Amino acid sequence: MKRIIYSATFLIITFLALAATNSESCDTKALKKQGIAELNPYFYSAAKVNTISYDYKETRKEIEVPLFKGEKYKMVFNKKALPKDVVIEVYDKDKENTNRSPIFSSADSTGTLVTFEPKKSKKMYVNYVIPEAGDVKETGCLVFILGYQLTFLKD
Amino acid sequence: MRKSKYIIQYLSVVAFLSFSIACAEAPKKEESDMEETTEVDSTEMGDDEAMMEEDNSFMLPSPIQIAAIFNRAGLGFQSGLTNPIENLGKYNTKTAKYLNFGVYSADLAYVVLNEQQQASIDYLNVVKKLSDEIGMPSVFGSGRLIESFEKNIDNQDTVLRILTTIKRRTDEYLEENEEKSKEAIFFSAAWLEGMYLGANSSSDKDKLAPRLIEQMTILENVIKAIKAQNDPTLDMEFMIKGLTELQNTFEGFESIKALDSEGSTFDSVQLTEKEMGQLNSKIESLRSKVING
Repeated sequence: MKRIIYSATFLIITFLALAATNSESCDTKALKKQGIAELNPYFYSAAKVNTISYDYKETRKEIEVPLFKGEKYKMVFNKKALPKDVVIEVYDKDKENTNRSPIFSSADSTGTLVTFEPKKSKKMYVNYVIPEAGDVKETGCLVFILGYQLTFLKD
Repeated sequence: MRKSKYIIQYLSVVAFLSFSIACAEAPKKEESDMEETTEVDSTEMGDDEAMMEEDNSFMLPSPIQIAAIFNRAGLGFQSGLTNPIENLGKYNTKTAKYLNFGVYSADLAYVVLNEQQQASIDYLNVVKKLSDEIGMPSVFGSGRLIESFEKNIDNQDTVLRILTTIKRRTDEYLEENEEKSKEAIFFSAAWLEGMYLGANSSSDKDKLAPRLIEQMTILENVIKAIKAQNDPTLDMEFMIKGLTELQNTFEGFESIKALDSEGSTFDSVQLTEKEMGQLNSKIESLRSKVING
């Protein structure tokens, strides 16, 4: 009987510890700060934090990003709080469009901070390609920071 | 026997705790996802279908950047266009304070970009006052930000960086207080004010019109974002109705309807004077409701 009690206690402690680790790893303020540091000399425009849930099969999240004609932008993605890598892809059209073209992919980049500066500004669609979870369901978070440049500034 | 009873009680507590934690965690994840990504409403689906469906979400641009785009397109300063500072006293409801925080933020960007130094300081103080009244004192902190703004008023780059800091701190406040969806309320009013300034300025209309049309392309997402905010103490019905009417008016124009064909872009669209007048009338009418509290 004692063994059952020890096992149950061990299980609940493990469960609570895992829950605590997960919330700690998604320190959005710190993750954003790291991302914003990569923006310079671009100005901060907006940030988006997405909870990433790994499921039994590959899934995707799509974010529509309005980029205005003639403006210069920089996208920064902080993947530090992901238990498993997520590939970031940028497209010219949304997922409903069969003839959309990829503009950027993070597939070949290493490191947890990914940056992308589009050559042409128009509405873009950022896709997070979330791999399957494997045996255990996991979650993490991905922070996306958008910066813009004010090219006309007079000092 | 008594020992077994304690063990059973202990295991029941353990099981109950585990169950409670598990149940509490699952919806929390969904809620945070909703708040952080301003998810678009989707039809109800079964589990398997939901797995197949990709999430939709969007980003709202910075109102400072929108003002900068208009400025670069030739939007010059015109006295009397911005929401008068004296109107601040009219804003006694929570809805009016939230919306006019957005309106005055857009006016602040407009006067800064047009190098109106005294007006910049005045509008910054109004934005600070509303920020405090809304309950976001952390946005301006101890007052150093205002000191720095006044000290660097003749350095546009530094002043714009301070405005960007205010925007970033506002975003942080909303995120930390799980009120991210309220960003849409500030933004909708700032966007409306920016459109009003652009449409009513006497500056070169040929240069400004394409930028105004470009801004109309984000209106659909602005409306979705306001609808997604879930604070019942905010009355956003008139805003949703007004912006939807504006969207419908725009989409009803022949030149916009013709854009349905594949590969068409807004770059080639030219609205007639009558169409611009119709858009402007909708913008003015809604803006008037907002600034009159």
